[in-house]
Amino acid sequence: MQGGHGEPFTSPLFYESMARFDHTTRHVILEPGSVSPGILALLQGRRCRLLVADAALALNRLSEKPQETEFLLHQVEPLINDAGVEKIDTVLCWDLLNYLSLPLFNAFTARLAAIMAPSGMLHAYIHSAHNVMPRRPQRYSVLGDDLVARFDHDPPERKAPRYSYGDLDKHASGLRVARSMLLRNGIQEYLLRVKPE
Amino acid sequence: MFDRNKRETHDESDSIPTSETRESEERFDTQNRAREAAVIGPSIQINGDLSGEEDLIIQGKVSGTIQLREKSLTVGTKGQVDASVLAHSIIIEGKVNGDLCGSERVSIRKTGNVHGNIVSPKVSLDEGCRFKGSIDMDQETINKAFGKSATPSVTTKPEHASTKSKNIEINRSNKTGESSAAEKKVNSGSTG
Repeated sequence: MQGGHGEPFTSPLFYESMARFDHTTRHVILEPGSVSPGILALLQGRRCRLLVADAALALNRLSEKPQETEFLLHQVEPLINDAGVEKIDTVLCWDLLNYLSLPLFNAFTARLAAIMAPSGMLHAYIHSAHNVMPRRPQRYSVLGDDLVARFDHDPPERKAPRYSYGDLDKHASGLRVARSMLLRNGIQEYLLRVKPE
Repeated sequence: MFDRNKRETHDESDSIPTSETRESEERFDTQNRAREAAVIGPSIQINGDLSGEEDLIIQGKVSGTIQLREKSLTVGTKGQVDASVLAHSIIIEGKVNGDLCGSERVSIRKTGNVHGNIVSPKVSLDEGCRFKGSIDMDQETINKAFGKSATPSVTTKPEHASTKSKNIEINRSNKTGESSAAEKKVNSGSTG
């Protein structure tokens, strides 16, 4: 990761998650963190609504204190809350999951599953090739339909949990891993779907 | 996350910059626009409904609703707006806590800090700005916002309750000690 500052990379599963969109159906996309540069250009002209929760730092802080999942669920709800207006079709969970403790990971994904449409997808990038990561979540920028770049503004100084396919499948409440790809730059890309009730 | 009253505060150091690439011709020059627009200066505070038919630049504090259907609104770097806004184009360089409807576009500049929901066909976010809320670019929603029900409620007030400039009207719901200065500024058609 450290060597890939700002280098664009092809992201097949991101492409796949966005290719579901057509110009006739309305889609709702959620970015739990801050808005990713370039995403608006990609969505321009489509029937869509982008929700930006800007909750990455709050989640990161929540993660630092050991808490019960039940308590965390109550904490996460106001952070990821669209008042139930519309179900979420796609969640772009970039550089966020590695910053969550396992109990918070559980609570966070349970919250997402509750507000996602039954056909909803979660797209995630996870550090997997390096043992350390920056202190706080960094940004990704959308450069094209399947082209993304990562920007590391902070130096890597924190141990990365490097959540695996198995970890995600086990701890992602209400979601299941549908596909995963290891990209050349060491980023593991995931698509998760809502578990049928 | 979209409850404006529950806004979370972050240190400046917590800012994660955001940006959108834009065509250079889409950029507005604030100084050039200031020559023709009405200006609410930094020391002015207005509480109430504000509507008009000329461009407006806000450098002071405004709360209530703002409606400039055919014109542009700029919230300058010193501006603080706690209001629902409906305008042709909206440029944010200061702080806004409220929903923004732009029939043409909404631009949040790098110094902008917005907490609210945006409805517009074109939205751009500069590197360094802060945004929390939703962005709706669905034409159906935009039509609704500018057509029937979803517009900010800027009601017609009796003559005695309003202050009319050439083209800007303020319907005061709460007159502050500074509002008379605001009226002077707006009435004079200040070019800031």
